[in-house]
Amino acid sequence: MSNEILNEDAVLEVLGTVQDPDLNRDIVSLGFIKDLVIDGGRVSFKVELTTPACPVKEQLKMECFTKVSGIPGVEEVDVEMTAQTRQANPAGGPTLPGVKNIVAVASGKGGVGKSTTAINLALSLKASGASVGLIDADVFGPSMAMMFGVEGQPEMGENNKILPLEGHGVKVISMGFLSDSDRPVIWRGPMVHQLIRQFTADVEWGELDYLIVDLPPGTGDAQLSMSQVVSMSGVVIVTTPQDVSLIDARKGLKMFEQLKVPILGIVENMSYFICPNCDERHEIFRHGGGRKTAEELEVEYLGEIPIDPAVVTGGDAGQPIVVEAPESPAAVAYNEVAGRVAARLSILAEQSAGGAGPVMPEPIDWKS
Amino acid sequence: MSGKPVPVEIKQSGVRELRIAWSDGQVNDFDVVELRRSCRCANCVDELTGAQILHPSQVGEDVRPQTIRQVGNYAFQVNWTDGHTSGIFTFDYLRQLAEATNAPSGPAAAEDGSGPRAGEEKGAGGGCGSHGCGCSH
Repeated sequence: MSNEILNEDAVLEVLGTVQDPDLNRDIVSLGFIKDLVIDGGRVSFKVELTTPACPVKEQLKMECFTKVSGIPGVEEVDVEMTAQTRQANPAGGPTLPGVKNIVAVASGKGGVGKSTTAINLALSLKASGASVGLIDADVFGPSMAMMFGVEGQPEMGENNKILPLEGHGVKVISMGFLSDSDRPVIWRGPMVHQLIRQFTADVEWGELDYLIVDLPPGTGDAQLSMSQVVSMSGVVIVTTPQDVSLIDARKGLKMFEQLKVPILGIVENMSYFICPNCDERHEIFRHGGGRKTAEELEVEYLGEIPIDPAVVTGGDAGQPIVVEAPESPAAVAYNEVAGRVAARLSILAEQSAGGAGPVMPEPIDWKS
Repeated sequence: MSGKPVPVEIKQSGVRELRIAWSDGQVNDFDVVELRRSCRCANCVDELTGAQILHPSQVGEDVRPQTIRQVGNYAFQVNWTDGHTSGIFTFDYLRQLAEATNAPSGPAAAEDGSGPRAGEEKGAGGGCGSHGCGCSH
């Protein structure tokens, strides 16, 4: 076939019609196309996304494949999807070296499944190919040791840094690793602040795409400290469908708004139950409150997680549902939430990329 | 998210001036001595009654920041030469101070006449910065 038609420009022109639906731009001007090679009738290239957990990855791959295959002269197309996670640091404040995105999982009240959501969110991101860490910042009720199936005391590495433990490929640090599981932690605020500082700056996190922080419920010391010691990329609010839970979710959300932590969205947990006998969907605690609250407060609705007894048994046994039963409805729902969280962070990163740059990454030393 | 202006640049602009450039184009130079006198921390303002504890005369004209560091996404904290360290200045509070005391100044404000001016945002502040999240205790 004639080489005058099949050249780089022809391929890029066609790929320029492929839009990233989250960033609202075409993938060529976004700089996603890498290593474009044309060898006779064979075209190969990489599409470098802004997160490996991109929810439309397969759709984009298919569109690239189909469109390039349609160019006259093309006999074979090889599309490889890769990712380079972007950093979302909306306020340009202090970050942790090597850590691109710090994402808190919060709730207004306890018992809504915040830790379960944090774990499964972390594991979903991990499964997509991202490098992930997790801080159990629930100082008074740490649960990560059990839910992750990791035990033991973290060791000290170089420069007196704490080495996190690892469970299911995710780096984890928890108060549960430091304290006796039967002995309560009885601390005042300054101690909590000190621990949060340690869990962020004094841990050898290495290179991470996402560091998930499981916060205790409410609007107290741990939330405030976490929002102070680092510049967080965003927060995910977990709620259940009842009004009383939603009232608390609103309070949590307002707190983070005041602290200028971007609200990535609301997850409605325990949203419905699919009866294993009749396959019928039961909305035990009513349904749709999370979506309604999200609409009212003009934040994104990230999705709903069904009630599944396997989520609980998996959690108790250190085998979270995303790992234990990745095809189950609950695991699929967590994956969808993770995809939306990653997409929201990519959008935030893209928005802040054009800004004035870091505001105060390092302290200002006053000159007299 | 609230659409309030946020800083895009914070730097020392004079012997006793701190400059903040905001996302809406406004630029303010803060006198650091006045900033010290405006501290809202629990040692300077009674948390429950809101009564002023720190008297302006207690702050000498020679007070300066030693270091200023960002606090999360929403504030900065100053270590002062008088030994005071507990004050956290939220960006919303700084903007309120700017609206109350300063006319916009500096290059960016003059650059674009169509941008919002000081005073237009009046009343948009309120709440945050006056207490609660403004303190480090």
